[in-house]
Amino acid sequence: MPEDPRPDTNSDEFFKTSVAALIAVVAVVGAIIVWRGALADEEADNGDFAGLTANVNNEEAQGLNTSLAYQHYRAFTDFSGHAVLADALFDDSGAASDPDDAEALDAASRAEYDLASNSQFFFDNRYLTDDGYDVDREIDELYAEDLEADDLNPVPHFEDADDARDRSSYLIALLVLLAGALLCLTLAESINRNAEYLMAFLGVAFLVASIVGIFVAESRY
Amino acid sequence: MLRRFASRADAFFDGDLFGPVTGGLIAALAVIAALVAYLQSDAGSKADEAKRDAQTQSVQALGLRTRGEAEVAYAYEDAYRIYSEYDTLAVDAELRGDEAAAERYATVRDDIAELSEFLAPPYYDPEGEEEPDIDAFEAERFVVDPTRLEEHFEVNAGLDDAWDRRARLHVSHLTLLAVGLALFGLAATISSPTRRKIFFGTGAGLAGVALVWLALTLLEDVDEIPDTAIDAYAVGAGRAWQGDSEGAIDSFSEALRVEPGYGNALVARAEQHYNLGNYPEAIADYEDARQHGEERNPILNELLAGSYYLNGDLDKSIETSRRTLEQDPELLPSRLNLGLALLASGEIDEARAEYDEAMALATRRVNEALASDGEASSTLYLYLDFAAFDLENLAVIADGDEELFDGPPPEDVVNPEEVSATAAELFEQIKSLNVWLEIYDAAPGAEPDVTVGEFDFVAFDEDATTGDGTLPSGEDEEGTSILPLETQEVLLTFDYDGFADGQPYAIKVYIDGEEDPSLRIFTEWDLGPSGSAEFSFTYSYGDVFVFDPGYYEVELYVDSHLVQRGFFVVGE
Repeated sequence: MPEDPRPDTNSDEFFKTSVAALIAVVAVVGAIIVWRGALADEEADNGDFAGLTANVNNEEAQGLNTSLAYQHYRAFTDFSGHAVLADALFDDSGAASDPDDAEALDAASRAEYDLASNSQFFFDNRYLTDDGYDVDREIDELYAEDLEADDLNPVPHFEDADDARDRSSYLIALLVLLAGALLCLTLAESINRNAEYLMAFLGVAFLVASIVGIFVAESRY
Repeated sequence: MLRRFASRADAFFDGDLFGPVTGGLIAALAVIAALVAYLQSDAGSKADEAKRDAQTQSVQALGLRTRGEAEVAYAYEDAYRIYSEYDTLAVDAELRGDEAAAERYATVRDDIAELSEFLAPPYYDPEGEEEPDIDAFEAERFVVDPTRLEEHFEVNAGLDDAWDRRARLHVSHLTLLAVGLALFGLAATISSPTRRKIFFGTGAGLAGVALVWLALTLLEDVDEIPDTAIDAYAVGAGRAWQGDSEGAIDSFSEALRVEPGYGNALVARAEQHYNLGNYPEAIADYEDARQHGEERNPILNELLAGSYYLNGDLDKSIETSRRTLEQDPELLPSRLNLGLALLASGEIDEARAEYDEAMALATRRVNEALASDGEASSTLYLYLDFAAFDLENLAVIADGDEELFDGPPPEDVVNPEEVSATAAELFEQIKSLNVWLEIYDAAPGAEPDVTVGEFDFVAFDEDATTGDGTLPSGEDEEGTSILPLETQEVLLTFDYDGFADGQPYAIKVYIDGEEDPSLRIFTEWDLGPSGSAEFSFTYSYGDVFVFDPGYYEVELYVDSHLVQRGFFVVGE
């Protein structure tokens, strides 16, 4: 009496249905990967834009600060010339033997002091030092003020953008793995006997690896 | 054998194996498509990164240059200007015998010197140098580092293009693969063997094309210039800025050793060879640069044509200028180069035509600028001045005299007599046009009917011990006046006839071939119709400034027409 073929048919049907379901899962996981990849791409674009904006802000701040500080330094240079000349004239007026000369030198000295005082309105006395004017400190302090008010550092944004870009590439690479799962599951559906189980196993393995990969990508980057 | 293959193919398309094989192919193509998608994404990411880096570096270079300019502007135009003002006052006081004042001003001067490192070694040594080394200071502040960033910007802009192109090619590969996949899918669903064969065959063909194209794309290199080459280039740019042509050539050669096809380094090295008069080397580098993406660089082509001309390769110079003008007929220097090379080749009529075209172009450009309430570029007037000097030089070479500047070897000049006469005529035309364009906004008047005698130059000092205030001067073997060193004032005298009061005239003074506009006179004649005219030239509003030693040329224009020239020398 021949064996009843139904159990085998049922098992085959179950296998085929399972493989079809797995192929559907592969498609869904593929869609998730593409979605996460697109989000990562957008994140990278935003990071780049934020970094470029910070870069422009940074250069603008440094340019304006340098220009302003050197305007002040220019005024200080005028001040310094007038002040030193005024001192020298004053010293010479004290040493002059002729009273007319002394008076003329004193008048010239006072005029130079006035000019020095006038120049003093055009720079910040905070940066005066024993031997001049600390223009570098002024530039640094102005920059520190800008840092408090604006985003001037592009590096963290670019690092974030690079991370997002790496995550996107990693996710797209997972599509290759997923396509491998699709290949194996398709073969499992179409080839004979024992090899179909091996193919199905490989397909499931690739699928699981892809899903794990998604979690790794999302947690690592 | 063909029949057997056909029958096997029929069996395949009709048999049970077709479905599984097609399914397998679809899945395999899906794997490949996923791989291409990854490559596409990777290329896109690299393009994005390169673009971002390029934009960042461009802004940073601009910022660095701006800050450097601010620092240099302070150092030179404020610190050094004020330093030299007090120095001048100190010298002046010393000349007046006021020791105390001289000491006061020197004290202030020395105090100002403390305010900028520009006024100290290595840029300035007041004991040994007349002026600080502004070029070295500028090279450090805003040449080397910004140049490095600009080169990185260019490289990254190139990388952006290359990776973007690759990404777009991968999209094409993906499209072909997708169509192939669709056709395989269609083949699997229809029952007609013929249509099945058509869809399967077309799908396989498209997939094959996509795969071969993909392989070829992946084999292409994406060019990148190594950082060491860029560093060497930037150092070379700094040396070139300081006029150290030989040092710059060493640096550019180092860059080219690392990256032989580095176009910018080839152009830069060629320029330095040109400056040194190494025309064969300049030509080799320019031609090499043309092979490396610089073929449309107008400055390169202009200097290449110039190098060929100076090297005596007149045909090549003509060919280069013509090629450049085909790309852009509005390039004034190339038009002038072409006219010059044609003239030296004895092609008189063609040369005249090119000079006419060049003069019309310059006139049009100035008129267009004025019509739109703007101004033409000042380089336009310089180009015309240089063109006039080139013509004068060519005339001298054609006459067999010692050339004024570098020029083609005399034996390469064809029909020298006619070349000399034509060059002299064109020289006057261009000089006159330049005065008209730069000084007067109206069309030049008719050629004036005036007579102007030879110029006579004497050095003048109102405190001189001789009766009329003139200082003793000599003459060289050609009769050119040699005025003493430290001349403060020069008197120009000449006889004239045929002038009318109110007639516009201009006097221009050139020192060693370069005009000093501070000595320029342009006004209306008010000395009567005939007689002897006297003009004074001086830098000396006090007692300190004198004429620099050098070769001086004075030109008189009436109604924008050059009517007389004269020369004198200050010093040896």
